[in-house]
Amino acid sequence: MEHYEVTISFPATDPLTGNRLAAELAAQLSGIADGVAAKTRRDTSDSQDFGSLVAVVLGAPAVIAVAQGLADWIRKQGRVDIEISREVVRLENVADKDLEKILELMLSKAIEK
Amino acid sequence: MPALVLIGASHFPGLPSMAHDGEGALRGAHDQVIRELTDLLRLRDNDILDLFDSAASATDQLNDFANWLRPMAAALSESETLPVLVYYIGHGGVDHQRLDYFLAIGATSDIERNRSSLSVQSVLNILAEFDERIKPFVILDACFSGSALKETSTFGKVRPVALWTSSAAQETSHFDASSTTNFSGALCHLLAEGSTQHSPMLSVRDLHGLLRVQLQRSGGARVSNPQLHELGQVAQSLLDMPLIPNRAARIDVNRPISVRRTRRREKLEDIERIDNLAIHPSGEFFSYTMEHDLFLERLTEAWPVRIGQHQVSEPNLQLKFEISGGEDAPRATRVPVPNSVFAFEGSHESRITATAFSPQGSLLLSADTTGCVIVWSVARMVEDAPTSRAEGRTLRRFWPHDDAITSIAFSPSGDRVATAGFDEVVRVWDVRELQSDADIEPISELEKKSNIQRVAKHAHDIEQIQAMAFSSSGAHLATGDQNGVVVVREIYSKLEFYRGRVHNAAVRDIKFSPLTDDTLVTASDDTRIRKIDFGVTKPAVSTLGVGPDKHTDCVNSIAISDNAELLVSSASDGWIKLWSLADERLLANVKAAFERGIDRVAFFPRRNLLASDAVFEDISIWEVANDGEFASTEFSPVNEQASD
Repeated sequence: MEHYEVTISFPATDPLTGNRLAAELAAQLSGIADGVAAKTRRDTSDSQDFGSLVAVVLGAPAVIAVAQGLADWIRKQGRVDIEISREVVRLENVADKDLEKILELMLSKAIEK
Repeated sequence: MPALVLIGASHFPGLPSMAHDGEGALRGAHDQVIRELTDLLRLRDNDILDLFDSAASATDQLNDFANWLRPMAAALSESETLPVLVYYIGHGGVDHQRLDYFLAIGATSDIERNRSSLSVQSVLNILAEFDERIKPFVILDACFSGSALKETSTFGKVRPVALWTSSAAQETSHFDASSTTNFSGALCHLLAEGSTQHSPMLSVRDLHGLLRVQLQRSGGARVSNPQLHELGQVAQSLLDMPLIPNRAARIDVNRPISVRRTRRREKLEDIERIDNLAIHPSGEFFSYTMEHDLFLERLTEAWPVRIGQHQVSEPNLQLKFEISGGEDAPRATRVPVPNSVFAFEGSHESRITATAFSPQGSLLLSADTTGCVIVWSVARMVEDAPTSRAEGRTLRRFWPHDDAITSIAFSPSGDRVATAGFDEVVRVWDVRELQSDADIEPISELEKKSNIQRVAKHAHDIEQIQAMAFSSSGAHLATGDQNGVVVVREIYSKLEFYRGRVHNAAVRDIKFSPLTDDTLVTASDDTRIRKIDFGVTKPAVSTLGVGPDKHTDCVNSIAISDNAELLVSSASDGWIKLWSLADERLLANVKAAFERGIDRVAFFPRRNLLASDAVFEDISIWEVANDGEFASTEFSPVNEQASD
């Protein structure tokens, strides 16, 4: 099965919050489905932090599970701006079923890239 | 004397996502910090606990810290205090569940980052075990290090603590491509350079202020904002405690001054003489010659305070010195070249007679008795070490004179260089042209007795030039010959500005004040040092040192400090003498050589350090300070003052 890497980041946050959110989301998504790995990564290679990006490695069948996990995490956060492989979206007051759908579409689009 | 704990890491086996990003920079920052602080504070082995890149768990590292500190604390008398510098270099992070700030170490694991890392709180808990004679200074070079303030506050309720962080709580810290971190790199630069505006001992507050200016000056979007905090009540602020010697502190010539040897490289008995010591403008390198051979050394790496730290990379090459390290040091007849020595043996076909670094430090020129000059690229010289190959390191080899060259001098701006010697002609060259392959011609030639505007009081049959110097403005060139005659000429018009027989024997060295063209100092085989003041209607010549103060043999070299307050001289009598240039008063002297005297003496730029080459004995580094203000408070045998 082919695996893809999708990066998720938080464009409207300061680096410290970005690091915290990334660590939390990586913990949430890691192992959420077979073959899914999520790690934090630094957005610049010259900084002395753990990274405010989440790099998610997944196969196409895991897209739904990752979208669901991501949606659950966003609901816990309340409002959050996320960027999935450079596509930025602000998710605020989005209905539960729509949230998962939007994320699924975004992840699918990111994989197609 | 403070104690130093280094913690942190450059590689993180348990964090695959960190890969090797910054490994070289973090390691480089560690090496730089330990080198500078060891050097400045004269730390001994047992004053340092180096846990950087340790694979031990956080708990084990903390235990090591406590076990190391206990005997030192126990040895303190009631009135003694011990500043403890806890210096972290690495990656900082925030736990996403508890929001605790943590510091990654070699044992940090992706599975439980927070638990497997060090916390500032856990480090402070160790320090809390000790009483107030232990003065904690926590320095964190990591992202978000300002976040540690919260944890430090808790400790601060019990005990005073100083916290210095590389960035604010929500800010990232950065490293450069390979060599160091922004914070530690800038700090080490400051430690190396010192400040002329501060007292002889710098406090953390002094350093913080200087560091912020330094970082702002370096510019760029990635400049972080170091934070300085002091927590807890204390009679005397930790932040204002005189802690680190200031290498550039202004010496007060009206107070007692001493000169002490801090480091020494002994010469072996069976090798040639050492000559032509020169200090690179950065103070990081120095060069010297032995007959046909040219050497360039990186000072900080090649001259460890402690013996046994050299990393030998080419055991086949032989260094003609041994490291002086007291009675227990190995005394081999030949020791391998450390990787900080760049040896270019046989690069000249005859004895090297003069060397000079360009003011910008990019070039080193060496000249020999055949009239040959080699233009070296300093950057290329230090690309690979050690080596004996000159090929690829030189930019040009040319013969500007028909006879031995005795002197090379760069103009202060670095765009001109003059060469002179036994053929009685001074030639001035465009430095840019020296770096190209094109044919070159001197831009100016100052012939023997050239353009004398009036009848020379001291005409010469022979005018072999022994010493030469540009004035501080670059407009004038002074030469001294083997008969003691000093000539000052305006370079472009070639007009003689001054001609006088200042000495009764050869002029060995000549220097203008770095601040004015009005003051020229000369040194001679006649044992005298003369100062010529051109700022008066008729140039006035005075003598530095009479009676017991004067040298008793040929004065071979003089150097003037950056602020033009101090003059140092070295002579064949083996003495180094320090003078007040303004009032021509002897301030301090030290017997530095016992065989054939000293060839060169030089000030390190912007520092109160001298270097000397005792022709048949050693190269030494000397510290100049007002009494009671030496960086060193204890001296090993190698560091003892070699005075009477």
